[in-house]
Amino acid sequence: MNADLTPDPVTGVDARIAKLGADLRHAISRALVAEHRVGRLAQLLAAVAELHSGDDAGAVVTTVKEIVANLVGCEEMGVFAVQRPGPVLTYVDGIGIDANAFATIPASAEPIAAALATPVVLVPGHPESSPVHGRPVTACVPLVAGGQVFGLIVLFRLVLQKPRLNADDLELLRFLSDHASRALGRVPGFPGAAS
Amino acid sequence: MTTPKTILVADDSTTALMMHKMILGTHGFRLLTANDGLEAVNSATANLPDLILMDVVMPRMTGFEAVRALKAKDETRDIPIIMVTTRAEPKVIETCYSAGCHDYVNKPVDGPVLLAKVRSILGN
Repeated sequence: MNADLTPDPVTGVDARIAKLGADLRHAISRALVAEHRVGRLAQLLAAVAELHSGDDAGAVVTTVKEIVANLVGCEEMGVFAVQRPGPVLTYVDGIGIDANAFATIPASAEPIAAALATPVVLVPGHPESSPVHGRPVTACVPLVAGGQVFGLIVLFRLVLQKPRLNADDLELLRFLSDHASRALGRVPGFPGAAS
Repeated sequence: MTTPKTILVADDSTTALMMHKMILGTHGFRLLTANDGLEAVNSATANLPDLILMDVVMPRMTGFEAVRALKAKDETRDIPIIMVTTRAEPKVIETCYSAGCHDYVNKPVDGPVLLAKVRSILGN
């Protein structure tokens, strides 16, 4: 028997260990991806359940603030109603901004004008270049009924540890736009929300 | 079959509480909730959870005040606490540890990071 053709038992064990190691790393990687996804789904489920449990506009707006603060990581934000004709944006509620200073926002201000023109989440490429009342705008989340924007959730600075919005945040903001619009359309108290 | 570990989650945001319930509850932990720091202290004293997840800014009693109150009591001082902070500034983190917290997580809470820290502290 040719010794060269006989499998080396040590090499065979090494190969099996290497294979098991690779399988384990692959399994851990898949488990981490799954855990991340479960975390995201938990966020979305918590958000939608809370949004649709509100009995009036105030409760829904409070949930919007909680979602933006706790799930996105922004503690400088405002919810604004679109007053027509004009249009002009009037302050409804917010976190970390002066209600008097932000009592109104002219609809002509960029990026507000762009956000009003299209009912999708808008993320300015250069937030610092077009501040609103001195604050850079990180994102505008439209509230839409019947194809018309009746309100805007405006996110200013994110929390310190969060340099920018990521793909998960954008998914959550689109989700927020959709469900907050529907929730506000179902309850009384938010101007223009009923479709 | 082992008894599930109990985690007390203290947060005045119902959205945050629900999210924590979904993340931790689906991984076999038993969840208790409190809506402010005072309620957290009372619940921890009554239920002696295995771990507490404590928000900082809450009505009636802040998270830091609640931690100090828990650390001052013989029956609750050994319960590990993870602080949930909005501001990841060195001063805030230092305050977390000096108050007696075992660890901290930043908002917005990342599910896998939270789970890893919880598992590390609870040893599973």
